[in-house]
Amino acid sequence: MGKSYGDGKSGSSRLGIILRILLKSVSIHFIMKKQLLLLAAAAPCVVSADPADYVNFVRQIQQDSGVEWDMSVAPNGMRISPTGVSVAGSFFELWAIHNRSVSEYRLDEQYVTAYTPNATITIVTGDPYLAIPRTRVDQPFQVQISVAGLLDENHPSYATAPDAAKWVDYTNYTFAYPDEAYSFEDVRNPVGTVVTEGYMEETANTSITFSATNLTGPDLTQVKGEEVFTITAQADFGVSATILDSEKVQIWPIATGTISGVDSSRYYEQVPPVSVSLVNLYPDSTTYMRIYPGPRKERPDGTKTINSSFVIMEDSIPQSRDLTVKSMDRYFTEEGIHTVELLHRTPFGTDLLDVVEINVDRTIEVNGGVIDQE
Amino acid sequence: MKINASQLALLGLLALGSSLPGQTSESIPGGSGHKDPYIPVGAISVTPTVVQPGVRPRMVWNIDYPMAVVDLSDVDPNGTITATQEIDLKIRVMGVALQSGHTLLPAALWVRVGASAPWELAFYGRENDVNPDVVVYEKKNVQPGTQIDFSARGQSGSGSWFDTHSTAGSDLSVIGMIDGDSVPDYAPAYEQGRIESFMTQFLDEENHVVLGPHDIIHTFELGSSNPGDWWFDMQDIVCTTTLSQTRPDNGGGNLLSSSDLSTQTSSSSETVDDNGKIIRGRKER
Repeated sequence: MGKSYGDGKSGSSRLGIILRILLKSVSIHFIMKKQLLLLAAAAPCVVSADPADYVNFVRQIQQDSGVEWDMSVAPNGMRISPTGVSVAGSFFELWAIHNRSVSEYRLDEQYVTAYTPNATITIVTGDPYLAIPRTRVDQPFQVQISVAGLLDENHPSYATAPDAAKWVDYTNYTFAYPDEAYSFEDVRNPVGTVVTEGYMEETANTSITFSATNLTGPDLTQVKGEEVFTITAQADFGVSATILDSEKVQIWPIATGTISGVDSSRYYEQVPPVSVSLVNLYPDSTTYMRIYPGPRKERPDGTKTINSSFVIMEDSIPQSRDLTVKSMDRYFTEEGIHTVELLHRTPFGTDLLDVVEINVDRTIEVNGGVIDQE
Repeated sequence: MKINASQLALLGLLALGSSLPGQTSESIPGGSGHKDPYIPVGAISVTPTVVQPGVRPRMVWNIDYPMAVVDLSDVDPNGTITATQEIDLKIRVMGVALQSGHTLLPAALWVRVGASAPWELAFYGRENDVNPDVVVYEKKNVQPGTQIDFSARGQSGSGSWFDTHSTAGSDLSVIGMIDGDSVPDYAPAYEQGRIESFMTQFLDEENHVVLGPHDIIHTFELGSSNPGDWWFDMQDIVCTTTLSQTRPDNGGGNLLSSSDLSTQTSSSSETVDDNGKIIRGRKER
């Protein structure tokens, strides 16, 4: 089972879509269909809509004949497949089409067959977000791979068996999102970078642990995009190479934040409002400021949280925010240096985005002299 | 009906080259317009995965569409939320700014889930008692059609209560807003820049509300029912409500912690995986 959620493509007309669903059995070879989608992706599309605006269908593609069976389906459910699995196996694809923007999304696919191996990929990250695997550029993630159905070298028919029964290919690609984009919806033929190519010759479970993303960029902390992992069966008996499973993980940048409006070299009788600028806040995060007396420490005592500084994100993409924090005076109850920290809490831990020291001096100085005259 | 791939591709391009009837933009004026999830996501499981030719396997699927507040509920101009799907909700108080002179006054917030349900106290306190990190009210499995109302009032220095203002009524002292909405023009404080600290993050330069796709913000004026009063700033108590689709509790998936990295086994340079099962490179046929 593989998820292809980022695979939104602008597609053919609504009439064409409905025809395809109702009339079924439009003959397009799987590879050719991918080309069609890439062509169709040239047009701009609009995401988001009421769920009622989507048409969903399961497409069963017979690998030997290329015949397709489309079955209109509800957003969720269970059914028996439209037709029997062909000799060379069948591909099952889950599609959703936004019938106002005609954006097409191939959401997931699975290959069912009589003889080729099977594979499942699961990506585990530190973020509990349910919709899709996602993580931050500096965080570890694990790709768990299970391959079944490969012939052992000692099997009597190994020498005469087709290549598809002997090994599967593994690939890892990275795709960087364009500037200001958070998906590839408006991108024609996104270009990926090969991270690793490999192969697996035995039925086994294994995992690949990455300490951080493989995406690259001028500033590694600010890259954003996807890593895609794919297990492919070899071409055989006139059937092209078949994707057994493909999964992706979204990679988001590290948040940055600055506190401005105060000068650490000055003494303040009254602390002025401070401006806070937050960029690329992680989609599941809480950002806030805290104050403690004294210079910056690793483990400070007497911290006070500024309750008007909280920025709480429950979102699907990183966000930026600006805020002004006023009336901070009540947090400065002592004279001298205070440290103000800007903290960003995510599923991965709490990070310090910025820190400033503010010197408070409320001593009233009287300039003058006392003259004692008899 | 049979169409070859190139014909269908051409049809698709021609169709896309012209404007499509009914094609509309979903973006929200002043808002980012995106939803959560960002694009549709889904999964299909077909079992068994290894079958004899001719067998019809079983398919199980699920699709999650991009959702915003408007897909989960109706929010009327007064701020009453009516669920249009089964939803969970959680409420945070983001700020209280009610005072008399230099004396901070307390405010109370009640929530009612169901038009005839009892009001439940979600928060009582002064400015210093606010902790946005804490969810003050949470409710799961709110059924479609359920009306959710908010009510608040302030307490004077003598202990008497000011008038109650509720989304269930029709006064102008409470409003519910979603991402992209404009702040009420009858509250001049926004135009004059008299914005409380806790509100500044929710407003862009044009005084449009900036919120997450599943968030609703309710702002109350507790000291007056008259928008003409100079102190009528609609920021005496502010809370945010986050909606989400109710999901079956399946225990969630596995999560990776940094300690999991310690389980990593060393692989040789010829392999890429932790267990040495994936060999680097392409195998010759």
